[in-house]
Amino acid sequence: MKRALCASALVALLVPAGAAAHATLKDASPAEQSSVESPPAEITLRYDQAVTATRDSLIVLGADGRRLSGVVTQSGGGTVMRAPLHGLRRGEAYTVRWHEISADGHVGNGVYTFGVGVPAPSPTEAVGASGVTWRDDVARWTLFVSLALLIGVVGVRLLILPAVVDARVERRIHLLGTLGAVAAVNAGIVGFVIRCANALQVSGVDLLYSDLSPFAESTRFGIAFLLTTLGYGVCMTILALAWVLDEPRLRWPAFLLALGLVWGYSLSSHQATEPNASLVGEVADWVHLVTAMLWVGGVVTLAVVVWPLAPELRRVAFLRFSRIAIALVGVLVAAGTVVALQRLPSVSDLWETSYGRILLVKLGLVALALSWGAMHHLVVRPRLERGQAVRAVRGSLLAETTVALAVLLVAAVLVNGAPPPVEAPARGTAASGAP
Amino acid sequence: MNELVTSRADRTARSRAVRRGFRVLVVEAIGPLTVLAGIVWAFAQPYRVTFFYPEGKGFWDWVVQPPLLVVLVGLLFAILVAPGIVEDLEADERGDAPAG
Amino acid sequence: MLPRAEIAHWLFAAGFLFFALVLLAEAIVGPEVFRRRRWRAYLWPSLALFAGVWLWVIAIFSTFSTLHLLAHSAWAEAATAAGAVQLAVVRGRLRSPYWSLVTAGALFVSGAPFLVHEQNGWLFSRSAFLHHLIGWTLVAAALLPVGAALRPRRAIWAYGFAVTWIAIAVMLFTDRDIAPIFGHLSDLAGGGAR
Repeated sequence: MKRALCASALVALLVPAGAAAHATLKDASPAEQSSVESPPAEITLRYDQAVTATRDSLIVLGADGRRLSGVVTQSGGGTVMRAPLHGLRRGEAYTVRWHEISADGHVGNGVYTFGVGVPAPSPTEAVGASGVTWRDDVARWTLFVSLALLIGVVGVRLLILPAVVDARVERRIHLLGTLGAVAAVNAGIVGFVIRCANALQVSGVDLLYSDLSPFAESTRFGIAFLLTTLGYGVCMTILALAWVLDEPRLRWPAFLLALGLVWGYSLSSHQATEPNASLVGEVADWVHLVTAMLWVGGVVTLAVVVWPLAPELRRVAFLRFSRIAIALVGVLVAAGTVVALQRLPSVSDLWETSYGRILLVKLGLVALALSWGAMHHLVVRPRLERGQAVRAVRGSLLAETTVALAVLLVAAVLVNGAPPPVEAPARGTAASGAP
Repeated sequence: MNELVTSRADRTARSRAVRRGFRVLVVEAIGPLTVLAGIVWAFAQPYRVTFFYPEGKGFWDWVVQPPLLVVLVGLLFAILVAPGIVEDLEADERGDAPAG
Repeated sequence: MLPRAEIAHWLFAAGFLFFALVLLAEAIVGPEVFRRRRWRAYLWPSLALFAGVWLWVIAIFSTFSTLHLLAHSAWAEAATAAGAVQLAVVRGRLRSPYWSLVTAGALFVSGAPFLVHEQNGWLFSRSAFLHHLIGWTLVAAALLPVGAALRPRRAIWAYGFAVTWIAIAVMLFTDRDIAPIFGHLSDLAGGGAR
C-alpha cells in the first residue's frame, strides 16, 4: 500500500520539509562522557526533531561487546528514543552506539561512553562507531560521474552537435550515454545499500538479508531511490533502443527523463529538508546539478569524442559549446551561491565548520576549472574562429575534465556531509510540508 | 544414369516434403498441446484454479490462475504465431519470396 | 493491493512459457523461415527488453531484502542487455556469432543470485528447492549460447535454449512459497502450504 502511494509521495516531496533532516542529539541520559553513581534502568536520547528508528538504533554494549539494551521505543512525536537496560554493574564502562534516519534520509550516527562509578573512557575506545564513510562518498561521486555521462554527453549531442555526424561519433555517444545510465542505476543501488548499512550497522552476509523497506518507504532518499532506479532503468532501455533501431531521436525522451530524475536528488537533499528549506532552494539545487552535469559532459564529449574521432567537427563543436558554456557557468555559479547562502548562515562557517571547509576546497577547484575554461574561451576559441590550427587542445580538455571530476568528488563529500545547523525562518515565510 | 539421378532427386524432394510436412505438424501442434497441458493441470491440481476453490481468494488469485495462464499462452501462440510460421514454411517449400 | 510474490512469479512464468514456445518454433523451422516476417524476428528480443523493464518495477518493490533488490536488479540488466544485443543481431547491426556470449553472460548472472541467495538445503522447503534448481538450470544453460557462438550451425543450441525456458516456466509455476516438495518439508521450514 505504501509503495502504491509513490506517485503521491513524489507530489508530497515537492513541498519542502519545514523542520527536518540532520537531526541533532540534544541530550542523553546517561549523558555523553559522563560518570553515573548507579546502573541506570534505561537509556534515553532526545533529538531536536523527529527521527526514524529501527530496532537496533540504540544499543548499549559492554566492554566485552555484549548487548545490554532492549528493544527501542519512541515517544515525544518521534524525537525521543529509549531502551531498557539490564546487566549493568558498578565499576564498569559502557558504549552507547546510536543511529537514526533523518527526514532527508541521511543517517546520523554517534558513539559515546559512560561509566558507572568509573570515569568514562575516551570515545575512541568505544565498541564500534559508524557514520558517513568514504564508501558513501565514492558511491555518490560515481553517481555524479554517471549523470555527467548520461545527461551531459547525451545533452551535448542533442543540443550542440550537428544533426548528422560520423557513425563512429554516434557509436561512442551511444556507448557513453548508455554506460552513464547503467552506472547511474547501479551507483544509486550501491549508494542506497551503503546508506542502509550505515543505519543497520550490519555488513557482509548479514546485510544481504537485511530488510531495507523501512528506508525505502519512510525516507526521502528512499523514495527518491525507488523512482530514480526505475527511471534510470527505463533510460537505459531507451538508449539501447536508440542505438539498435538507429533512432537518435529516442535520445530526447531519455535525456528529458534523466533531467527530471535529478529532481529526486534535490528533493532529498539538504535544500529540501533543512529547517530553512524552500522551493527556491530546491530549484537552485536542481539547476546547480543539471548545469554541472551539462558542463562536465560537454567537456568530456569534446575531449573523448569530437577531438579524436571527428576532426571536421572540432571547430563547430568547440565554438557552439563555448557559447553555451558561458551561460551554463553563469547559471551554475548563481544557483550554487543560492544553495551556499542557505546552507551557511554566516560567512565564518566557511572556515569554522567542516562543511564550510569542504565547500572552500570545492570552490577552489571550481575556480581552477573555470579558469581553464576561460583560457579555452579566450585563447582557443578566437583561433578556431579564425580557422587557425590549435595544438594540444585535447590534452587541455582532458586536464579540464580531470579537474571537473575532482570537483564532483568534493561535491559528493559535501552532499554527504552535515551542514551547520540553521534556524527556520519566521512563520509565514517558509513552506511547510511532509518530511 | 539419368534415371538414377532423377530417382535420387525425387527421393530427396520427397524426404524434404515429408520433413517440412512434419515440421508444419509440429508447429501447429505446439499451441494445442500447451492448451491441453493447461487443461490437464487444471484437473490434476484443481486447487490451483480459483474458479473451483473460490473461498478466501483475493483479487490477484482470480486474475492469475496458473493452469488457465498456460491455456492462454497456448491459445495466443496458436492464434498469433503459429499460422504465420506455417504459411511461411509452406511458401519456403514452394520457393515463394518472403512475405515481408 | 500489491500481489504476493507467487503471483508475480506465475505471471513471469506465463511470459517465459510464451517466450519458450516462440524459441521452440524458431528452432523447429530454422531462423531463415522464422525471420521471414520482421516482427517475429524482433519477438524474443522485444520480450526480453520488456521483461527487463518490468524487472526494474519488481526490483524497486523488492527492498524487503538487500539480496532480492540486487538480484532483481541484476536480472533486469541481464534481460535488457541480452534483448538489446539480440535485437541488434537481428537488425544486422551486430554480425559476429560471438555476440551470443552476451546472452551466456546474462544467463550466468541470472543464475548466480539464486545460488547465492539460498542459505538452506535443497529439501528445506519448496522455495529452497526451486532456488537451487532454477539457479543451476540457468548457470548450466549459459553453456548453450557459448555453443552457439562456437558452432553456430548446430540446431541443438536453439532447442536447448527453448527447453530451458520451458523448464524455468514450469519451475516458476510450481512456486508456492513453503509448500512441500513431493511431500517433504523440513521441520524448520515453518507452516504448511498455501
